Amino acid sequence: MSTIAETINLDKKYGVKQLSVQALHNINLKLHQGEFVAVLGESGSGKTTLLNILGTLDTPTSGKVVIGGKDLLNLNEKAVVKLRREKIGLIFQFYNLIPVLTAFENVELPMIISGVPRREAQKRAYELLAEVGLSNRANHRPEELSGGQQQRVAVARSLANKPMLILADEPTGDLDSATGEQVMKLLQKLSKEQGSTVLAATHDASILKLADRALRMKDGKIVSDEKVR
Amino acid sequence: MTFVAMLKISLLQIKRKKFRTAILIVSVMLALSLLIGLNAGVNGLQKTYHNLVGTSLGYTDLIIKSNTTTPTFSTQTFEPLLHDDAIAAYSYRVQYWMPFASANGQFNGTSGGYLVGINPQVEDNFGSYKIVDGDYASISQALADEGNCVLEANFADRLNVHVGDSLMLGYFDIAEPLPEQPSQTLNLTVVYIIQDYGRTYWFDAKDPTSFARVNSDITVNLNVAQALFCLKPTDTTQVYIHLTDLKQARSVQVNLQNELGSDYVVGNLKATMYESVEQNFAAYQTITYIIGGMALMIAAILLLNTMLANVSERKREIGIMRSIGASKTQVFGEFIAELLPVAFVGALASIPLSMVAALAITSILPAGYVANVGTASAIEFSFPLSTLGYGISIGITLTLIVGLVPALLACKVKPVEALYPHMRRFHTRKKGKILLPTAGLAAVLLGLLLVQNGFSASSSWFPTATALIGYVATLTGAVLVASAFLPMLSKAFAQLLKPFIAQASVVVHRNITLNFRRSVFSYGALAISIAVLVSFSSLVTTAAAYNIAVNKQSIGADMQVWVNAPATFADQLKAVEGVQEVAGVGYISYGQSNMAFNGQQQASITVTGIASKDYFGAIYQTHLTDTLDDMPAEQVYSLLDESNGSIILQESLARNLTAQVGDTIIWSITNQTGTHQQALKVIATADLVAGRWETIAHFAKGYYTAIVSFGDMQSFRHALLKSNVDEFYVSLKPSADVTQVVNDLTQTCKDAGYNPTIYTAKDTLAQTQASFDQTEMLAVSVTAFFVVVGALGITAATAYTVTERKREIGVLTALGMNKRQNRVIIAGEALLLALIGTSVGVVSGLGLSLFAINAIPWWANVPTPSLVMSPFTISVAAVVISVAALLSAIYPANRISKLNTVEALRQ
Repeated sequence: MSTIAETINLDKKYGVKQLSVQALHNINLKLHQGEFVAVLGESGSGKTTLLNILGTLDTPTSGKVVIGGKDLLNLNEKAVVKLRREKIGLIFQFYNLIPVLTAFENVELPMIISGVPRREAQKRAYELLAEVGLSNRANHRPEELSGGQQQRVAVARSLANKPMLILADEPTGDLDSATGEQVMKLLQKLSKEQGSTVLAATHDASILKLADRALRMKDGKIVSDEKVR
Repeated sequence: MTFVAMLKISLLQIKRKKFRTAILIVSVMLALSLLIGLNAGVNGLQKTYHNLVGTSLGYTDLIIKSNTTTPTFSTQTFEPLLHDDAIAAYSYRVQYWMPFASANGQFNGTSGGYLVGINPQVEDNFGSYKIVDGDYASISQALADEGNCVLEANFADRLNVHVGDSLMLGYFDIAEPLPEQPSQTLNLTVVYIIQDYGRTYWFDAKDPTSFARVNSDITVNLNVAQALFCLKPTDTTQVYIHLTDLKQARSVQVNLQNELGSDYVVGNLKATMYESVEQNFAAYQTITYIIGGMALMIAAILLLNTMLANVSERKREIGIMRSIGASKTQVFGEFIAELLPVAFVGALASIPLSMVAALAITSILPAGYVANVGTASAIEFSFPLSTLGYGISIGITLTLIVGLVPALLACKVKPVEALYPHMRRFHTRKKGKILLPTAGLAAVLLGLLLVQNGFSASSSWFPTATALIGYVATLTGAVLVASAFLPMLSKAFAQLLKPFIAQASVVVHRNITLNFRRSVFSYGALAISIAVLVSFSSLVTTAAAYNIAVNKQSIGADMQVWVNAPATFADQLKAVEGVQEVAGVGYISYGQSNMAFNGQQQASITVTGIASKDYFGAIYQTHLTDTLDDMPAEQVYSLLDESNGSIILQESLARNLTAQVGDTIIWSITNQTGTHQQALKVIATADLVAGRWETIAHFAKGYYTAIVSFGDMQSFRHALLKSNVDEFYVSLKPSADVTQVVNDLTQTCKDAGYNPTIYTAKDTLAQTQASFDQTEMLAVSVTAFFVVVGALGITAATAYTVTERKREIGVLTALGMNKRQNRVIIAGEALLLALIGTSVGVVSGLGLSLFAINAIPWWANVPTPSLVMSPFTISVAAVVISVAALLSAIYPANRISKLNTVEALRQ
């Protein structure tokens, strides 16, 4: 399996001098194509920071991050944005859908931003909504959807540009366990179908059942990295 | 939580939100400055005119005049009546038309003037004047010597006499038949030339409330005037009275009138003039209140919108406060407390700016003309503390009242919803979306009705208070009606953002439509302000264009050369290079002439006597409505070239007399020696001559006129001791250099011994244009204030939404939007709102102007004007609106650039 993301000696510090917090310490990680990786750890262990850096939303203090064979340090802002747009999909705990847009428009949005032709984007948005079982809710705005439905829209949105890497930060954190499991199964299924790698940070042990591999983090370090299936 | 703790939180918020607090303060400050500044400016104007009345009239509070055919009366008649505690001083005068005045001892072609005989012992207190030339300390001192006289500057200029010259006055006994030459003459030395501020007033005994300034006067010692007109030392023509207290003017007037009976008229001069000033300025003050009120209304919308956005942005904070024990009252108090510094600092900061605004307005305000008070040369600067006091009180009270709504909404926020931002709900009330446009439509209809009534009740293009209230209602209504088109407009304008953010422009469009109330407030404030700018300035420019057209007609010719010369002098004037036609005319003024036909009578008719038919070539236009035997106009004009007893009657005059073409009317005049009359045949009627006749509908009431040949007028002119024509109408060749022609005409007159006064159409039109340019500048400057305040509203509201939408922007970044695109999302919203506001403002402003133009009772018989926008207004509006739009977008866009995506997503 090819490596689609890699971190080498990754460090991340917040704050300055005595007040600084070491959020990530010497993280060396490789993510392979089509893997479903669960990141487990308590609050403050560095899960979200790792996802943010891999998602190019944050930058490391030191170390190297390579995504799709590209070293982020060598990319300018424009290239980073392009990479994020085309290669990465993000899912958040609180769904983070654009409140003024409908479910359909939320799914369509990443493709619009990437410059996918309108007709093609619309076709794919419908397909994805159908895949997550929300064809009948396409014209509803987030406030008119349940938490589970919103997260399913978020899943569909993350898959819109067929990214190589999907980063999910506590995707079931705001859902009941049954709904959470349903959403994660859906994510697993769809990502597998298009060959995307999923890295999901979670407290939820049930996600482990779906994962190929589990990373455990503590105090900014990866304390274990094991195959679970 | 204690009040102090609450206040601390409020102050922290203010400190954290410096820019927005500053915007609120600036908006309150701008609106208040406009209100206070405008008021202070009008106060200054009022004070100026008040002082002008005081200066002009000095001690003169009441005037007594004869109401019989004999203008003189004996002081003995009512001397005892003047010994009253209410009367502080009085002065007898003799004021008469002085037919013969000459500097060279010859009375050919000389000018007459009003001779005013005064009592030097008391006169200095009865009016104000400025010494132009002369060595005496006062008029009293100068006229203590009965061989001296004092001339008014214009009159001295006309006679071309200076201090030290000898002036010959000629007179005749009233009992004599009218002489060709004076029966007696008197030489006086000119010792003083003054600029008269109106120390001498004449009033019509038939209408004691109408006063006129006496210009061209020769002031002499009372004894000289009495001798000149063969009067006894106890005879007088007017008594000037000064009261101990002006408040008693009315009662003293009534008492004196009762005592004196109907043979005398007691004129309440000063009180009437003050009342005229008060009445004029009461209307101006109301208008300034309404304009200032409009500015405050826009600031209030801004304030309300910003504070509502503030509540929306801080829902989470409110939720936390409520969850840790803050009561609704305390949340309410916190929001009100935040507005206190805005209200107080805004109000106090407006003081210096108000003074600047007052100074600017004072310098721009046209020094107009009030009744017969005169024209003020400069407007006095006035900044009364009371104006400042009520302005500040209004500002503070309004700010706090406006703050009540968001504060009440803040305390109603549900803690659970507030603590979980992803549970945000859009309160899109469908009812509101129907109610607002419906209410707006009602407001527009009501407003238009008020505009219609306001204008039709006045006789001017200047909006009355009612019309202005109509403006406010119409424009507010238009903004509400436009809310029905908000989705359509926002979607249409969002297309403009597509080159930058493609279909993501839908995010901008949706934010505008889903945040309905905020959007309506935001574009509404700007729309009203732009509409005010567009409608006011276009109203001024349209009125200017109309006045120019009317003035052009009224002037009648390219030039009017006022010179008292024989009619044949026209030939010399016609020889001047560039001159096309010249025709002399003489007038017999309305006070002296009457006409009668078939038992019908009409008094006060001004008759123009034309010295040649060239008159019709020299003037701009004549429109004959009927001619004898349907003869062509040229034939009518030819008939008037000879003294054959023909007359052209003004159409309304003919109607009043029930006379038609072919009828013979009787024209009569009355002078000191009796009544003279002659019969004239009506050969035509006209409704337009030199643009003057029926054209000025407003002034035409009571203004009657006719044309005869100068020859037919000669006997009457002789009866009035006038043998020359009064002026020459001049038309120019198209290639003529107006300045050069004026110089050449002046020289020609001077070479012949005359001192002409020349009015050119070009100058008069330029003066009219300049006066309107000034008014337009004032309107644009004042309304530009409005636009700035309106734009600040969009800035403030959008700036708040940046904080509120941090998470949304974070998500967009996570989805691959770059910083530029994010800036477009936020700035685009501000720009779209500015565009919507501008569109609604321009359309409603122009629409309202078109309506107003049709509602204004345009007073002259020139075509109703079409809407005119001056390049100046268009450029200023374009610049102000562009700056306003940029201003509203730059700050929020700048804030977006500094957004930390990770932090935004954590919220």
